[in-house]
Amino acid sequence: MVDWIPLKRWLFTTNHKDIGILYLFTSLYFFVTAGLFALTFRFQLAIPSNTFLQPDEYNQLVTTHGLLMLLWVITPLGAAFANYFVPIQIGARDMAFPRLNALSYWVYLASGMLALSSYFAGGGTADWGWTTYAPLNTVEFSPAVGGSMMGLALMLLMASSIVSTVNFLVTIFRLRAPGMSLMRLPLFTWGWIFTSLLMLWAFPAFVSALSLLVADRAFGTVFFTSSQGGPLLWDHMFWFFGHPEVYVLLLPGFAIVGDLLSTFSRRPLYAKKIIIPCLAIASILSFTVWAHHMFMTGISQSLLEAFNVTTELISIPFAIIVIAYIFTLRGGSIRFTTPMLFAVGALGLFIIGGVTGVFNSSVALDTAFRGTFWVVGHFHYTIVGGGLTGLFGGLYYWFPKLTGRMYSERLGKIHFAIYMIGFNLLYFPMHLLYDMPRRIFTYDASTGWGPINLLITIGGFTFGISQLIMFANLLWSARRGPAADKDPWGGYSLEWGIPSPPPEFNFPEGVPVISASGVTFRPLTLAMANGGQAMADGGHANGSHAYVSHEDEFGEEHWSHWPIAVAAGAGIALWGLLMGLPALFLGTGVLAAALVGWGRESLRGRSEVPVEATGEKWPFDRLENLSLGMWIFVFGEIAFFGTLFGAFVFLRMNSPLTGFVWPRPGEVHNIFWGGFNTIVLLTSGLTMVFALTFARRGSYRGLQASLVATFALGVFFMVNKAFEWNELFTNGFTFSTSSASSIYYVLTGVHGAHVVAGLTALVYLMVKALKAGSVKQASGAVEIFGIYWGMVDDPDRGGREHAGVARRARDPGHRISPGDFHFSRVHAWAIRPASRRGLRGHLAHNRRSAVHRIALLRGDAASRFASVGDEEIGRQVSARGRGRRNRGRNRGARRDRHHLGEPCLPSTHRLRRWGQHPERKRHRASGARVGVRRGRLCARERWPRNLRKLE
Amino acid sequence: MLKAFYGQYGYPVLVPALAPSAEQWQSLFTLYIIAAVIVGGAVFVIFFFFLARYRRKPGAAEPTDAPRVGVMADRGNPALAAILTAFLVALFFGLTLNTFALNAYLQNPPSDPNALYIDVIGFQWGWRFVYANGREAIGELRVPVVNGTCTSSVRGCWSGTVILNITSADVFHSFGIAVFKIKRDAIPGRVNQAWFVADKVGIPDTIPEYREAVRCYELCGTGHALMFADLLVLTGDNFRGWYNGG
Repeated sequence: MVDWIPLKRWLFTTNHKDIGILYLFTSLYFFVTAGLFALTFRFQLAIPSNTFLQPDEYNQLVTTHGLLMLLWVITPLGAAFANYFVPIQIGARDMAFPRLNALSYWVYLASGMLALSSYFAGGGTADWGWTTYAPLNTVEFSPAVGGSMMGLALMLLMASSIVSTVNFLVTIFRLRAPGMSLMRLPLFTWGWIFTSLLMLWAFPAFVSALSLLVADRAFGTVFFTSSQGGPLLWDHMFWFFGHPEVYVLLLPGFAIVGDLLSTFSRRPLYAKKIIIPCLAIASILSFTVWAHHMFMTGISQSLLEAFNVTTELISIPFAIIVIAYIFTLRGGSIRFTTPMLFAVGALGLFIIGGVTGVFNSSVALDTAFRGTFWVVGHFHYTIVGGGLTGLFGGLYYWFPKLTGRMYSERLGKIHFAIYMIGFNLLYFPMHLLYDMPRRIFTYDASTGWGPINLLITIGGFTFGISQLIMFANLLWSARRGPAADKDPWGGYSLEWGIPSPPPEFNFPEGVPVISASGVTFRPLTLAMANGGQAMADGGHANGSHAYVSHEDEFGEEHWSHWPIAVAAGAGIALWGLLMGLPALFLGTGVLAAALVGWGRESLRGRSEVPVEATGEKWPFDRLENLSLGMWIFVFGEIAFFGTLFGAFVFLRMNSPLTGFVWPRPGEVHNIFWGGFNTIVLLTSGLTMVFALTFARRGSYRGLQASLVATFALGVFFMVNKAFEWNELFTNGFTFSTSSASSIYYVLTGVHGAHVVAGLTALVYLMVKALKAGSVKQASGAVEIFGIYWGMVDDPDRGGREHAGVARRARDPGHRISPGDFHFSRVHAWAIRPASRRGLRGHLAHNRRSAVHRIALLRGDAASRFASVGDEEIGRQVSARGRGRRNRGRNRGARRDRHHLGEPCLPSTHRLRRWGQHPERKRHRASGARVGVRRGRLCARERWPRNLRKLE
Repeated sequence: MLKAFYGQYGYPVLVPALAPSAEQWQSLFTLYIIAAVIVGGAVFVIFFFFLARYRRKPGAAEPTDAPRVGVMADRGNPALAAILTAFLVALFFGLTLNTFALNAYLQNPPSDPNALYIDVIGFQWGWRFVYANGREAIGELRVPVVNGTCTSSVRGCWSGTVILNITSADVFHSFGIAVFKIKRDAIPGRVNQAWFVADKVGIPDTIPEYREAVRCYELCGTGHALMFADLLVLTGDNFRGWYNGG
């Protein structure tokens, strides 16, 4: 018999630690793959006129080496540690959205498989370099299907990252343990905050660039072939993403370096309160330096000189951080363990990379450096030297925590020595080749580049072999290494106070409460879904206070089929988009089924991991987790649409220069129906506001009617849009007519896709409203959808106007900017923070958590309210509630009592009838029975498995 | 002095400076190298000094302020950060002034009535040079050497100033002459300008650095590595002979 439990666990887990492990193994797999690619082409370059590789093979290897290393290795390796340790470092029991977390991983894996399979798609994969310069990336010059598949893989990966970003930001801002103020967070968590923010803003920009590219390749639009767009459009869009991406790669490893230097020199991190603002400044500045990649494109010199200055400025915060890191060592007692060596190495290499970066900021020096091995040397020093070296330090540092075993220090130090020798042999000589173009597959001996290239290749193989030592060391030690203490380093972040490996819910002693005097634990105020108070230690009951580590745990809360199914569906569908209809239909079917399954699971309220909700939430203490998540997502979407509008502005402004006459409003077709359509969609925003109002007031009919009206208006909008597209197509205004038609179709099409996604979510919402016993219960979901819909129904107005087809474009002075992307006031009013709905709104919202259900059954009023976030308020309110009931004033409560004996379920004042009771519908849906318990008539939950076992 | 330091060939031995633009570039680069070595070196000295000075001594007690959970973030020394910022701003200001000066030189061709204009068209995979009289060449760039007697008051001669109008016939290329430190992207639908003066007469056989001196610096497809052209700097008479169809 095959033992299915481990397999099931790894496939269906939503535990952040398991997902971290999955990320770790997958990213290291891609590391080995992309590393072997690099060794292959370094072998080719070792001697002049080598014929080991064909040019197209070489180009594909160079391209995929870059893409894989940057996007599928370094960031996910950081994500591995972030998944595993950020929730622990902030004192949480899991991520805010565990299933979304699993989804991020599986989508990441699917995108990676798509990327690798593009090699076999016929004609090879993308061979245009990781920067994907236009118009080499268009079908005319790179017709291979593999290129398109790589584009789709990149989009899928970006989707994964954006989901993950939302999840991490909500987690870090909303789930911190009591006393864990932002300034107490370890630097790694801080680094991950900024990494996430950068991803949130930079990655959507890349998605929009890829959207245009895929539209060009698949639908024949003309963004990168027309002279209005062309290469410079890609350059701007790509590098707007590309430079923040550099810091996405750097920051996780670089932040780990700070923690390591502090831990191993036994000193608090020097000037942490300056380092963090410096990280913030650098993150903001990173969006203002992109044109330093375009110094030679011949665009406005004054603009380029401005970018020269911003690029110099961005080195200042990093210089301050470096100095702060170095001053951390002062007065310390430095222990040169392997992680510390890697941290020291990373800092040293980063200093070299930072210094050569100042050279690159010079618009004049770039006449030599642009496109040469100098640049290759520079960015490997920063990204591999500063980023990856730091991450390897983190791998050694956390290895005892991940496995409970210690690696071999001796082998670790040997690895470090060979690593540093190999690294510097590999990358330093590249600075000497500042006249050798990058990405050439061969060169003549007469160039004189031969000896240096041979040296580089030797360094490359040395560097590669050194990683084998690490893998051997870690793999062997994971099984056979000596048992490690739970805190072998004297670490100061929370993960070192818990067992290795940590139990399922991280903190066996209860909730960590952080204060200036250190950390104390208090018992979890919430019982957990898989156990009673005895289970508050986060593991299975096993005698007194013993627990079983999470290696053997597989709680039901950490289990969902749907993330992997969604990812598989999406991956297969995208593969089928290029490779054939059967796969497309199969993938779409799987995706749809998985989404339905996911929605049903949500309706049943499963897979919600209870979290201690009394911790630090500043500055978002007035928002719900889901609302905050949706807001963050919407801000990411602003970057997405903003970049698309930026593309529009670029095309529009270039058109007079290139002699292209942009269509005047009304010239292409009658704009009346377009304008009417805009009003329709705006009206649907209004009905959505009605829906929310009705939900708050508890009007079931009003809610249903408003949702249906919203849905109908949305569908009407889409139908009208279909007619509009059809008419335009009939008139010969197609995708490939001009850059104006291209941007029109992409903007309206992308927006239409958002509307369709919104309508799908609306269906879910209507089902939820139908099933929920209480209207108010649905109001949280309505609110979240309202945030999304508020975004969708507005930009469309911008979209069509930007395409030059609608009303406002008549105004010649009007310039579209991302600032046009506003929320109407009425929306802002409608989606005000949930906390203003008062405590009851909160209650209705939180009622569904499994914890709360158990608490209700226990009749424990104080803990019932604890999930609201303030026990004190909870006690007051419950006391007040009892008083009222005692006085018999509350008819609802009396009726509850009448029906159920002691009110096991909370009575809410405005719910007059049991028919409206929040628990009723869900009870029916979940198959719960009304039964007798402890001699009282009481709505009885279906007991969670473990508790039943206990009984 | 710098010339003595570098010898005839500049750093790092591989790239000789064979034109005024390259010499100016080298002096700017030297300035940056000096700043980098001093500043970076100072940082490394402090770094390694601290590492050596504060390494753990056997039997030493744990520092009293060893990091632990809940310790508030250290404020550090804002004045130090301000001083560092001011120092770097001053340094960058100096570097940037020099950079902008060189940039102005590289970007703006002199208004020289005797300049030679050449249209440079990159294609997959080679360079086509089209001269003002329609003369074309693929794979070799012929230019006249600088001519001291041909001042702007003299008409009908080539002063040696070469102004290139660079574009591309298909994909994104980047036109570069490493020995002159000249580079400009060749972008379809766009014309970018670059200019240089060559002051050493030679052909690839006499000056090896002129062999394949013109290269493409942006990946442009399978032939990217082979997209180069030879450089031939001719005397005025030789160039005239070729130019007029000889």
